[in-house]
Amino acid sequence: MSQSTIAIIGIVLVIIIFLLRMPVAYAMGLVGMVGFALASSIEGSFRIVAKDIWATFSSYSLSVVPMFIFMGTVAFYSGTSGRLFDAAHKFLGRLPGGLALATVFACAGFGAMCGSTNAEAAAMGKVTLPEMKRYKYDDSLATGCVAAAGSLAIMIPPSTILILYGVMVQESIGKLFLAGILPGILLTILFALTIVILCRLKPGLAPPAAGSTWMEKLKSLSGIIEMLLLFVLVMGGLFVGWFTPTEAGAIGAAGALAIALVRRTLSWQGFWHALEDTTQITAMVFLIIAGATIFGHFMAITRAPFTLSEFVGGLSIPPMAVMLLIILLYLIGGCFMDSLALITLTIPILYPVITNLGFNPIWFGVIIVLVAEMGVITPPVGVNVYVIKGVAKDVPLQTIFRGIFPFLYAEIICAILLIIFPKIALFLPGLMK
Amino acid sequence: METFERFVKRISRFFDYVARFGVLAMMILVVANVILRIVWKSIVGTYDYVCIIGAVLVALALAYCGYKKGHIEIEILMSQLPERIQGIIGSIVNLLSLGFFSIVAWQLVLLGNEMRQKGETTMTLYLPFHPYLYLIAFCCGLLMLVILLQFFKSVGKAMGK
Repeated sequence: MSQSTIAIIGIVLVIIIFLLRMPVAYAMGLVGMVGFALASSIEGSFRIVAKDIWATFSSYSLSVVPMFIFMGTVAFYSGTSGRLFDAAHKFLGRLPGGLALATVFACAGFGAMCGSTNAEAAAMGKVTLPEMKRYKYDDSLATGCVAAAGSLAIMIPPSTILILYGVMVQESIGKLFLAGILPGILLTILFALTIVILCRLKPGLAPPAAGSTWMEKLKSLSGIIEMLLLFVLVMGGLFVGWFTPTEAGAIGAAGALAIALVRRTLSWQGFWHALEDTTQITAMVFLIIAGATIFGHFMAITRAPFTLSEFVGGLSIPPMAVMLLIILLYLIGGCFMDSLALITLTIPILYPVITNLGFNPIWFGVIIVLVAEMGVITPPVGVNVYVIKGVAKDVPLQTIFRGIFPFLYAEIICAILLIIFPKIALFLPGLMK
Repeated sequence: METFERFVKRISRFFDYVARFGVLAMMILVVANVILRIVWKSIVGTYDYVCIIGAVLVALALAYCGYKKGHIEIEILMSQLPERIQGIIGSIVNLLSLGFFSIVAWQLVLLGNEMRQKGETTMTLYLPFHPYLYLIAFCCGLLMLVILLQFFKSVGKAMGK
């Protein structure tokens, strides 16, 4: 059996085992280990498994993961989402669709503290949906906008997916974080425009809410100003090179904790839950990376990614057509598979193709995140939709899925803009020292 | 069965509690290092400590994450199948997982032995690596207990209980 055949069987097998509900991390580790043994030797394969697990677990660059996750969970349990929404509500509530707009901007703000889409969708859903229901917003618009805007968490730094991608392809996490800022803002604006257009076309979707005085508006800002300052400190420190990503994460977590303690918004129970969520998500992410590393070593020893890369490079089709095919593959894959699983499985195979075709890896990271954002809201596996369904139990699943479609178009427009103008993603990292 | 489940839950949760203190320890150490670097001088060996704390906290949290079904799974196909088939496939998948983690634990012990013999340590503080490899192997053992519990549940499902 040729090495390429072993690689292809390995890829097919790992997808089958995924579908049999073996945890993604175990499946990649297991198939990687068996595949490596077939392509090389059993002794080598056993050795690489232990070494990869040790190297992943004790990696300094990955220590950024628990720190930024802790920052997000503290923000989650200390009610930051509520304060952000309150401020946005005070400023935008009176406009047609104002509460939906407030939801989108509050999600963008919360995304600056939290790197996980489901955490953001859950946090924002709990705060925003009852309010939109009170003002008789259309269920489909209300749930669709919070499910879609919840995905901003992985584009606006800190982002779990960008960290994972950065570690896998050995790109600077600081640069990747900066690369996510402008596309994140662009996507926020596109989501807001989507709401404005929808409300212009059908004013009944979102009746205006009660107005606020300027005093109330200014007062609401005080609830979020310290969080914005913390974000500027963390990202600014990374940008000018004061901190490593791990240090930025630790300062962010300590800062979020200090703010919550001073404001008395975090109970002991909330603090303990924040720690619990941090250890759980960290263990999940590290084991996935370890599994993907083992699988990546199996792929590398078969030389399949390089063979694929040479093959694609030799084709007489333009690189952009290949890129569009890859994006399409991610879009379809994202409909059936968790984004984290899809990215860890495919990056070791596709990354050499991307670099060989001359695409910028930082830009590709942002594109991957954008496609992952589409994945979390598209049926049948759209995780955020199920999270929102958990919050809005009386709204049928089809209504939520119907609501996400206008926002999906906004994401597609964002992807097209990023392809035509890669500078949107690359401008800020280009300024980094 | 219930006693076994209670035991697995308690022991995996206990180690997760320890991991939570690891998160705090890492945060405090890194922040202290940044502050001291600005006002005086860095804490020697912060890099080594962060790597070790990271390895320990992840290992200790693995089993409870497994118990709480925190490791990502793809539900789309299996949720469509009858309970009994789900049970049969689940038992096979759990057996394969048990096999994988027993090899992982065994190989981590061997790697730990090798590192102990060679005297491999961290770069700055010369902390030996091998105790942490043994700890990860032990935590893989804990995760295997969780998988064993899930195996029993799947077998029960397959038998229509």
